[in-house]
Amino acid sequence: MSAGLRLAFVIAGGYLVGAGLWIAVSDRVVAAWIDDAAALSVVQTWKGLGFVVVSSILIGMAIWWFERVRDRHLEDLRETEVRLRASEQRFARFLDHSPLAAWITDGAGELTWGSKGYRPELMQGDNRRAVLAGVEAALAEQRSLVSVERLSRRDGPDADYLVYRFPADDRGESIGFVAADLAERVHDASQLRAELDALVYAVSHDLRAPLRSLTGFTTALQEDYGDRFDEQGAHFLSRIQDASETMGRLIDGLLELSGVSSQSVKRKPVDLAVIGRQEIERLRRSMPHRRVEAVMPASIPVSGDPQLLHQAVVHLVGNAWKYTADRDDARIEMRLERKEAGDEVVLSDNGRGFDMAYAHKLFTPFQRLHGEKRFAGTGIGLAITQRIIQKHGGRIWIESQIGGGTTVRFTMG
Amino acid sequence: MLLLVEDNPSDEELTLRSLRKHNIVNEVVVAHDGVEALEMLLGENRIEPDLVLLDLKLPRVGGLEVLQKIRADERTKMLPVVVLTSSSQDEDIVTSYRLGANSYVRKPVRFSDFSEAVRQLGVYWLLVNESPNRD
Repeated sequence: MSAGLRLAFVIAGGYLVGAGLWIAVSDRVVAAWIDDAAALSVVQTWKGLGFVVVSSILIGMAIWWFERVRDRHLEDLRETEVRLRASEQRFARFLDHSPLAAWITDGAGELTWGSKGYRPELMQGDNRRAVLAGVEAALAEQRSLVSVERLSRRDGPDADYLVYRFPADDRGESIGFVAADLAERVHDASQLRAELDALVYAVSHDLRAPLRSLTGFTTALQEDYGDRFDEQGAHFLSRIQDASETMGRLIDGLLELSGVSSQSVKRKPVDLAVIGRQEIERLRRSMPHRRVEAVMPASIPVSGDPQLLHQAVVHLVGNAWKYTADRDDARIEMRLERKEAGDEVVLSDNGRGFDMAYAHKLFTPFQRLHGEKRFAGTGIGLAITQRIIQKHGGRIWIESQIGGGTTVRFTMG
Repeated sequence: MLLLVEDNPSDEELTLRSLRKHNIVNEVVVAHDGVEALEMLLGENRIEPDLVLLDLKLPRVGGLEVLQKIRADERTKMLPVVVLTSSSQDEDIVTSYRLGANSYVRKPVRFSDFSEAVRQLGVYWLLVNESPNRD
């Protein structure tokens, strides 16, 4: 029973008992005291009226008292409400003024609240898929996720957002989201990258002429003064030439790498199998002693820049060719695999392979995972290929095992 | 006779050496910038080479301007001009052809390749190709 009901019973009960007693006793007393029936009637009436007056005063007082208590409670409530609203407003204004989009959903991803910066399109279609990817698993472990996602917008081009997803309670029934538009920052980064590429390109370019002099005049020495050098001297000259060759390859590699970024990607139909076969043929002609089996379908059609993709395939096939050099039964395979998330181009070889622990270094220019002598190369081919694939909006990754071959996979975005 | 327009002394020396080694041409004249080149081709006592090897990056007057002026003059309009330059910029290649270059060759880095390129150019343009100079 609630306190209010109990109080009501007590007051009503008390009044019942008190008033009942008064009526019973006072009536008897007055009756015993006054004999005259007329006088008794008058006294009874006055007594009754007096009872009503006292009762009404008591009721009035009781009600006034209860109202006061209630008013005080109401005032407290209102004060709390004002404070709460002020606090809520402070947070809402903070979120609305910030460049962030913030929103909360239930465990199934249905919106329960969104800040002014939030727009429904952030959680629709492809955007929804991108934002919710992996959230269920993370939520189960009470983890938060953060990643850069390219989201589409109704009033403009696609933009990169830094998106945080985190559990908003500890029961998995509420998910918090915060998304920040990176457009500005990404632009800065890409501007820096462009400037860096221009610098690398300019320097590499200017190094070519002096390098030509280096190799040219060393050759002149060898040709015109060769007989004046003893074996040691001739050896030194040849070492100079070797070093110059290496330098030349490095410079060409840098030029190619920085050149890729400055080019715009033209989208045309390109057949990667044709390029692959051409490159294998060219390698066969230049190294006829090698026995290599090349397996690829009649065509691998993709859409992209013909020149850039040519470079990419040449690098990948070249790597496969190089790292199967110590096998008599070398096998290089190229194929297209249709996957849900998008078609993958796969290039695999049964060559040397490498330790996956160092896989993250693979795409860094000039990092090589094998000793210089055995496998000549500048170590920049993969960096160039990665940049080309990324320019097309695709991803590239490699799987390998030591002694178990290597597989390169990429998507075309 | 060949006119070499080249400002880099090392490249000049290596080009001359290659031409000599491969026994391609009797006489080579060298201009070290665009002004000299135009003087030699269009000025008093002008020469009439069978081939011009033209670098683009020249002081005073650049290679593209030289090319333009050569093609603008009746006397040198048909002169075979091979652009031999370090630049691989698409704009330079396109502009060179648009201004009337007969060929565009990027100077190789490695001297062996460079020497071979010079030899091929010399053999083709001076021996195989029929020059418009009919005297």
